[in-house]
Amino acid sequence: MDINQQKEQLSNAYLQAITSVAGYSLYKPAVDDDSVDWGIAARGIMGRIRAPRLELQLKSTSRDVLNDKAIRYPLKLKNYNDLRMVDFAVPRILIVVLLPDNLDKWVQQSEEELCMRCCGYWLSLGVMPEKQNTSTVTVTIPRNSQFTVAALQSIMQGIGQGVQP
Amino acid sequence: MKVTVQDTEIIKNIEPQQLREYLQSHGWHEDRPFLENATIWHKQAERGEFEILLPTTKKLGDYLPRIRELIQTIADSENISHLEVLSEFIKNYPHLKIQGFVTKIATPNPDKLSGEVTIVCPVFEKICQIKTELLDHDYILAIKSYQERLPVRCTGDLVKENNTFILKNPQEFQIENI
Repeated sequence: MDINQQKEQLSNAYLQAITSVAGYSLYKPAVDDDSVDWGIAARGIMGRIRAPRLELQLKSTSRDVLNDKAIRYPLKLKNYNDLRMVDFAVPRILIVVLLPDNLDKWVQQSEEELCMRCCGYWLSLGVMPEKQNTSTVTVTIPRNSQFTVAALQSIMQGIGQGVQP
Repeated sequence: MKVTVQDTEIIKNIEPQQLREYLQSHGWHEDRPFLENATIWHKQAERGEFEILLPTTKKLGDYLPRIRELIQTIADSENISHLEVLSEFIKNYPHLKIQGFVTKIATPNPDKLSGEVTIVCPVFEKICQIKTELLDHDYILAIKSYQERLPVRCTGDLVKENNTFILKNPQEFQIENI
């Protein structure tokens, strides 16, 4: 398996861990949209999708994109535009998972714990402007927008009450 | 008989109002709005409770996947295939190839060798009656297939008018080799 597939799989595991603990279920969206990797929904009977729900694009990187205050991630223009549009039935966010450069540091395991490095950050592009860029748009995610269990629960509760993320 | 369907063409032409009317007449109830562009609908079916997110407008970036999901949920709730549900919403489908039996020959037109025939065939897995107007040689073939109960095939543009399927521009009408 190449390193990029490994990164993708570890970021999937990160997303699954957070979503499970937060009490939601993950689903794979329909094939029509290549800017959506996963959907998150309230748990339904027999795996049925239920509101509130959210769809997301999941990216992972071990590049040095982190500074004191923010993550600056270069996003493909198509993805930027697909996530930026305001008119969706189901809201969308971007999640960028930062991984250590060295694969040996991705997980640390003992009898006590399984530690997964490093962290995911989330961003809603809903209000972002149209760009004239040709290939990528660098988006800035504040460091305090960590994709945690509490953050996900807060986003989902907000959606349930009619608040866009 | 297997029909390959490009369902994206059908799905993107379905109006939210069509879906709303279908849901209302099939035991679904509108529960509450979901953010700005959709409403949540529920139905208590034999197989449990089902939920649907119905977009309020076609002008959404995720209209296609939402309708695809909705069609699948209706199919699950009624225990039928998604194609069968889809056939409810067809308004037109160009270049459709049909295969079936001629079940009715209307009174021939008085001025020329032509008339309306009814063909029964599956349209997206649902057996339907399709009316089409045939001329000359095609019309004679239709009469032969009707009398001898031979299957026919034909290509044309399917439209739905007043709840009746009509095959416009029928072409390549022929009796199947059996």
